[in-house]
Amino acid sequence: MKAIETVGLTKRYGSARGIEQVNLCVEQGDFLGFIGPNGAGKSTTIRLLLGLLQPTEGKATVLGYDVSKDSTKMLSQIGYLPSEINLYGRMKVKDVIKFSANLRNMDCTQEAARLCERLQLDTERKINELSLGNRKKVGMVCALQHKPALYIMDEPTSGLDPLMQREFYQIMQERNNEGATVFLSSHALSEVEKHCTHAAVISNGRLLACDSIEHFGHTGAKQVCLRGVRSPLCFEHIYDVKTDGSTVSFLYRGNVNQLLLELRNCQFDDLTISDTDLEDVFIQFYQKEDE
Amino acid sequence: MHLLKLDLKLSRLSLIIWTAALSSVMAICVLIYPIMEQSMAQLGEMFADMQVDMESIYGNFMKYFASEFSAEFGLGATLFAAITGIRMLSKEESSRTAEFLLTHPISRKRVVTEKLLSLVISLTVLNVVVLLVVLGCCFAIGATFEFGTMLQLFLLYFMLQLQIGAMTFGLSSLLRRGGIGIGLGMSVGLYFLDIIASLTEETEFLKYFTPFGYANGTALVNGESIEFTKLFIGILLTAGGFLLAYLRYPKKDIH
Repeated sequence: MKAIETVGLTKRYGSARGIEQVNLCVEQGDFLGFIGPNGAGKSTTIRLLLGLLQPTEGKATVLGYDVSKDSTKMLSQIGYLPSEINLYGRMKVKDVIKFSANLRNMDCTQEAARLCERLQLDTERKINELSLGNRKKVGMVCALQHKPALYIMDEPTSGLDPLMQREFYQIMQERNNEGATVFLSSHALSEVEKHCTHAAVISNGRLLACDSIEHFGHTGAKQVCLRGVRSPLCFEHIYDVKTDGSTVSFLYRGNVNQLLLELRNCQFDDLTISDTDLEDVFIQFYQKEDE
Repeated sequence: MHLLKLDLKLSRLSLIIWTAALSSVMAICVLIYPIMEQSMAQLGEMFADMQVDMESIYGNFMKYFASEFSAEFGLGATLFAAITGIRMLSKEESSRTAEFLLTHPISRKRVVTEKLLSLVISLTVLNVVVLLVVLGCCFAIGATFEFGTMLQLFLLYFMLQLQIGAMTFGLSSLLRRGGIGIGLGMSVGLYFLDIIASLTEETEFLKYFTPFGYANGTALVNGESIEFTKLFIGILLTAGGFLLAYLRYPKKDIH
């Protein structure tokens, strides 16, 4: 059974684009980063997976449940954290956490207390007295306290300080090690590279790629940087050329021996050849789609 | 019933304020009756030569009470029902808590049911408290009244509030933002429609289009029977409002 599977999932808002023919597959136990530029369709996809939006076309299955038919059973096994969390402002933190557990017909008192301690959350304060970061922590406790099988998180670390971001990923790593599936959207490509085992790239409402992080890294391209260049460069298999004064950098996708032979005919002061940064790979996806 | 409890808890301040305000108004109406009775007696003497029958206007406590009740409580409680009904479902979206609520394992139909119960309980509490206050004041001034008629009066206006509440509740399932203006506009509009309908015989048919057409306290106290067709239309519209919410809300996109 797949944790998440969508077939031709489409959402249109009148003539405006939402997402188009998204075919996504997330295996159980995956830690997947869902990335894409602003307005790419990440939040729309997440809302469709949670049953908050009705699809225009296509189908989504989460943990084996058809989202449009069995959403209540499905939601009992999901922990969701939205990017901008809005809670009942006049309630105390402890009451919101209790209300969330009550809606699940569960007693999560012990786990909630443990999480509040780890996230340094004052449960006696009222929600409307909290900063964005602290409200996000309340959302995290609500999403984590029942130990679900699947975590869906929309930009979970936005608004959190670096220490809390680290603590958050630590917790998610623990849950993932226990067998839970994690599906999170993020703008922080370095976070995805560091913590996720898989990534899916969406842009302009279309899913461009979904693969393991390892696979994304194996592009076969090398990042080449030449400093103090004094002769014109004339190479094949190069792209994304950037020139800054006498410094030239580019990506080379070809035989490295051939590259070294060609470099012998050039005049320059210094040379760096490195593997391509995963962040660059993702950005190339964005740029290609824009073109 | 966790959502119901939460909803009642979060809306209790509004309920307390409306209940206190309407109870006070009705208490004053009852408590000043002895003064009004004296004034009416004096007016009766003055108009005796003109053959105006004051008895038929404010002849006894129940007629006086029904007239005041229709004008003050009738409109006030209807406004409360409209405001409560129109905000019931849409407030989760306007305050952006719908996303939090609906990503928990609670079906949309269950949300509609618990919200509907919250509306009915709020209206019941309002009416029961006002009834108790009125009864207390009646005993305090020693007014003679028929308890059965008093109860019928409250039940009739409860039906009116329920209809307005149900219609605005149904509309609430279509809205993303509060819509208080729509709720208030609708209830005030229906109130004035009843006034227009009472002006001439030609406009009397308009009473079929407003719940104020069947909820006529003075007619009830005067022994006139409630017109079944008008009441039946009211019951249909009440059921229609609730049905709209049950059909529309489960398919609504939550942004």
